[in-house]
Amino acid sequence: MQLILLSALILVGLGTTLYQVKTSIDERQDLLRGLELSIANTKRDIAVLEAEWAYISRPDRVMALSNDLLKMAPIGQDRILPLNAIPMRINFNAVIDTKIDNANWKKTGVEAKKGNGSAKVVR
Amino acid sequence: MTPGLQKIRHLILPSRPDPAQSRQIAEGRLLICCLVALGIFVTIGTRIVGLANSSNDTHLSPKKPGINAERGRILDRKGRMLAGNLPVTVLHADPSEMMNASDAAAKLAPFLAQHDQKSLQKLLTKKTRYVELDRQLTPKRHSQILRLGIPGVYFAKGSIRIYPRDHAAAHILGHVDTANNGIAGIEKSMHSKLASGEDVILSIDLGLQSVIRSEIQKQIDKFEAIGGAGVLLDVKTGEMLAVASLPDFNPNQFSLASDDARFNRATKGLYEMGSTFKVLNTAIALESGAATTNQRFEVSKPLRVSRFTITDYHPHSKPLNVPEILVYSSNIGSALMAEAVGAKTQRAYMDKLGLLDRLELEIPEVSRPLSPKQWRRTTTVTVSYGHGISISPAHLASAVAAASGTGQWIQPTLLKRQKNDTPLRLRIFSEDTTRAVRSMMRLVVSHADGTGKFAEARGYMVGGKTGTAEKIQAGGYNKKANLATFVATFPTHEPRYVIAILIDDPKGQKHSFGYSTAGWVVAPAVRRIVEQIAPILGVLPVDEKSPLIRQKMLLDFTIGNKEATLASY
Repeated sequence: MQLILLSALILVGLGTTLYQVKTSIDERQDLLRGLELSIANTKRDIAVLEAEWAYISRPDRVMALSNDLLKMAPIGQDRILPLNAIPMRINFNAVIDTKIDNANWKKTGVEAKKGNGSAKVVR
Repeated sequence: MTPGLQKIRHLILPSRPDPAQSRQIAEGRLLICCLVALGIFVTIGTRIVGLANSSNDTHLSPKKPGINAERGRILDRKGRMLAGNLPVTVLHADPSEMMNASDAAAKLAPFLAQHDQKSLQKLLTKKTRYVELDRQLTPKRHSQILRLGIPGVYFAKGSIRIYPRDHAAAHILGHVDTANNGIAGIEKSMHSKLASGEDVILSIDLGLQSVIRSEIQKQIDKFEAIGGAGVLLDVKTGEMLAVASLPDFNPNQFSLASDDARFNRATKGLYEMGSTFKVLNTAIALESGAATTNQRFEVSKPLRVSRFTITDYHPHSKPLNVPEILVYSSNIGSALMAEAVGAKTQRAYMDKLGLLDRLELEIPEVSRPLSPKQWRRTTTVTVSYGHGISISPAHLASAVAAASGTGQWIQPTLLKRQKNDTPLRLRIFSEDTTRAVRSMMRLVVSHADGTGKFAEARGYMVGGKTGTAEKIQAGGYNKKANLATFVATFPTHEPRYVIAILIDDPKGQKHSFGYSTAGWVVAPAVRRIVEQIAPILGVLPVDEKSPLIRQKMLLDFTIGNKEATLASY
């Protein structure tokens, strides 16, 4: 009798688990299908946008537009310089500080700090 | 009844009178039932759990990856899309579900370009369950038709191959048929890679390609030419950064393109390149030791070689040295240099420069050059100034890259080189030879008497050589039809790029004072191309007179009566 009861309980338990697993799988599959659909749709949207971007960013079109609307033209060679050919900007504050320091040193006779001898330059 | 049968009967139908025994039997049966049921549930349970766990089970997944993968894209060297796929909606209908076919036809007709109301009505009253109405429905028309709410009209998803850059690099990209099989260009040669969903990255740069194409087109229009071609080659890697052939076509409307437009003049077209070959001739003469830069050749009298008489466009009364022969483009001088080299050596160099064989490019549209089977004395002489051998502009660019660049012939390619690529490199010319050739090419452009002075793009140290060849026609040469070519290398102090441009059959114009020579037709285009592409390529303009630049060039030449100077323009 006990055996029968036990197996009946096991059966009920298994049945319940089976049902739950089945419904959860259905749920997950629905979720998966939804995700796949939205991924596919997004991918299609991206492909359309990429194609559109590629089409409207054609160099000849951009060139014609920049010519007509912005009056831009290819840069002349006399307007191109490498970065290191640009003279460095003098940091005037540093120059003035140095001069003041030097003056103070002359007055007080205190040793000048290292590096005060020349003006600092920055790029 | 036999006792054996009695026993079996007892198992199924126990004798009533013995309750203890019947109970035992009943319990036994129940146990068996329980075990069987348990077994079934356990089997089903484990299977369910097993299936739920195996996420990438092939039996369950709706799509098999790999087979349905979308065709790979074709990108330029900077990752810009040259060919891709556009999702489209296929519009189809089920006539049996149509409530009112004539009404539906009237509603649909304004949205479908390839049908009118009559043809639609005919389609929609067909006795089938599927008629295709449009394969390339745009999202806009899709929503418009959806809003009409016609029963029996359906939409399906599909994709088509698109070339969003219109004409740019059309010949290189090629085309696919309706089943997405490559039928030309990269689409054909790289079909298996593309079909498996992989992208292909070309060596082409869209920006450079666009500049070269539009500048060649300008010259074709200006000089009423019938076509043109251009190649931009990276001297150090062999990558072809731009390959243009005109007239070209819109690959999105491949079926509308004429055969002439589909023909790739840059890689498949074979032409006698004329005087641009003198660059190669000079390099070969210097490298083989047949001539030195200051050696003089007597060019005052026409040269007779068997039945040919070789003359110069501008006769010279004094003997010319090697740089002068190139700058003045003397045929006699080039012929004499070639004779000093000898037929065998010349042919060997032509072979090493890849001018006797088809280029191993990654597209099917390549040709084998036309060259004489037997290399006679006349061949040697005519080849020295670019006749008797027909090659493609791509051939010319790759050979001149070797003669004026690093001295190595590098296998040209249409695919972007990867870091670990080791292209075929053949050492053909020494550094000294290429430096001399570059300096002479520079003089062709910078010298006041140079034929290529309209190619001077200030600051970019352009060197080059013009070539104006009469076109071959049945039985000889057509004196009225020209082939204008220009091969340029820049910057000459640090060779990086070679441009070869060809304009087919330009006609003399008022603005060119009737000239249709390469110096008038192609050289100005080269100047404009260099001025536009140098900033893209990161080539900075330099001061030609600075000692740093001068020491990189060879200057101990005498041109005319004066010492050659770089800044003589």
